Amino acid sequence: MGFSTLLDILGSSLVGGMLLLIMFRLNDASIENSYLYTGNLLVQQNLVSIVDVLNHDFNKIGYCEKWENIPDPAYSILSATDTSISFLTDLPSLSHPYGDGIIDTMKYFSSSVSELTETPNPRDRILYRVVGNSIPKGSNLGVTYFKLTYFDSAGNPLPAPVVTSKIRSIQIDLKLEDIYGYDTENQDKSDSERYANAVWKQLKISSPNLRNR
Amino acid sequence: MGGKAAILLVLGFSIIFLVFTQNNSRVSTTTTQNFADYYTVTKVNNMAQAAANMAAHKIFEDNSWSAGFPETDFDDGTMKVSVATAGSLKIITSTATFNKKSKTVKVKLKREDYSKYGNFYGHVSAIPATGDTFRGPFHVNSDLKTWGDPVFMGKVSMKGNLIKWGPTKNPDFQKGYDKGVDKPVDFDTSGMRSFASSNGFIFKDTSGAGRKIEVKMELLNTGTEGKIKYQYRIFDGSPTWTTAKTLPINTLTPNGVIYVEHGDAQIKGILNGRLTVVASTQGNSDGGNIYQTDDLMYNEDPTVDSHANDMLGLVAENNIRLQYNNDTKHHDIITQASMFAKNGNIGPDDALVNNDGVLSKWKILGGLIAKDIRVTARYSWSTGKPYKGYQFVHTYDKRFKIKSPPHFPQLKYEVVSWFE
Repeated sequence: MGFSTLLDILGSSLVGGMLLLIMFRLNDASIENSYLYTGNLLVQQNLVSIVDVLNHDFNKIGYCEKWENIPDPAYSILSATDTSISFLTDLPSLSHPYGDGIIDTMKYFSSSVSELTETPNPRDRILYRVVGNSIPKGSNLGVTYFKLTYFDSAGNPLPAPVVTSKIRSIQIDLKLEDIYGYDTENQDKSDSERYANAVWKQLKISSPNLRNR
Repeated sequence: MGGKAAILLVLGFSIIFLVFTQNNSRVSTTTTQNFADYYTVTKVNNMAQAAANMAAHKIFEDNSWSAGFPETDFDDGTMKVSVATAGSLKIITSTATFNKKSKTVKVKLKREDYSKYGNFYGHVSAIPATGDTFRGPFHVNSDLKTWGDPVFMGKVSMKGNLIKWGPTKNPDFQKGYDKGVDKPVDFDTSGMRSFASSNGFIFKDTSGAGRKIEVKMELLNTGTEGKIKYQYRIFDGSPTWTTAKTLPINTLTPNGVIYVEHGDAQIKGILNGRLTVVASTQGNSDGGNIYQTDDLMYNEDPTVDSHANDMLGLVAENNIRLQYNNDTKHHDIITQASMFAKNGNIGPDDALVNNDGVLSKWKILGGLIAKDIRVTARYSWSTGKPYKGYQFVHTYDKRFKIKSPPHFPQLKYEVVSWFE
């Protein structure tokens, strides 16, 4: 009887221990999934936010409420590289929902990865949106890849250095990743397993004002 | 005791997993909602653009269209378009609604001025070739043929196709080109006659016989105002020039339009002001020509002062010519104007194309709109360069991008501003 009790205790300890280990592993997996799903959600929300702003701004390249202030929209793109662009526009505001007729200058460019060394993600960089001569400010939304490709009226890609007057459409390639990730020090996992990511590609965004007149 | 602990353990983990599951479900739902929101925003944007494009197309077909579209079901949402007029502009406001989201697109349109073009032709018989540079917007209502590497500094459009010839088929379109763009020249000068009749000036045979008239005009700049010295003769068998008269331009033609009815016009001088001269045939087989008899310049040079106001338009139902005379032959000639030869072409008289063996320059500041290109010089077969006649030196007047001479001919509406 004492022996069987001992066996019972040993058996239940074993089963209980296994159950506990399973529970702990399940807990780990749940936490990991939760982090990854939440990270995925954040990345996608950030992507939609950035895309909204990009569409809002790029569709207004060469636009001005007083159209005479930009007599030749073909010259409204001031500079263009594969990671930056600056152009003339007329930004709407609360008091002037269609712009105030005064030409604004806008510039988009991405920073180097060395500007963001505090986050676990080594590839994240800031995407700057600068209006006029203001100090560049940006927030880290997890942009890891930002590339612009320019096309002429025949759809041919324009080689660098780009002749800005020939630009008729622009392709934007954008990739966002979770800036914190999960289990980031585990080198056995690939980057996409450690950092949730999302890619957006806008083929041939073309401001209607670049084509008119 | 152990059983209770086990039950508590199971209950505890169940609660934890319930929380995690709820969180995952929320995340999953929010992700889907995020996608749905993006889809909605994209779709309502496309709907508003489509409605604006439909309205713009209506205006392209009918300049007077302003009915708009009432609120209508459209692609599982609704769209509404209104058209307003503000001065010379038509403003399309297109609003689309889908899934409780709205988007507004605002488009401004304006009648396109022919004077906007640096070069506008029905067809181009003299093919643009290596060494040629065309400034300002360029349009041809047919195929555009090029030889070698001509340079087009402005935006190029053509009704037909781009056909490249020559050893190096590499035309340089600095601002790109568009094919399939049809801009038929379907205006007549009767509208300009109305403007001249109401507040301008008409030269005509006042006897009512409809005889041909010839008008000589010299533009004078007195420093304070622009004047015009003119005389005319009627072809009545023994045409005799009238006594020359000199008047301020604003007095002779307050709205700046001078219309020569069934006749030809000769013009030269320095313009202080804004003027459009029209030469019509009035349905006859003769007349409708404008002859430049010496330099034709602005008082204020717009290449020096971009705010200069002097602006000249020459509109001929037939041809515009540099006239062969003692003031023009063997000399460089300056023409500062936007020139429109509706059924003909623009260039030197035949005698000036030879120019007695002398090579001179024709310096144009403005634009050329014509049915075809006219030869201006004779070219050497061996060198390919001109050796007599007039070398074509064309500078585009950038002011014409947004302004035009008084009541200059216009095409249909074009989009000048698009807000979305």
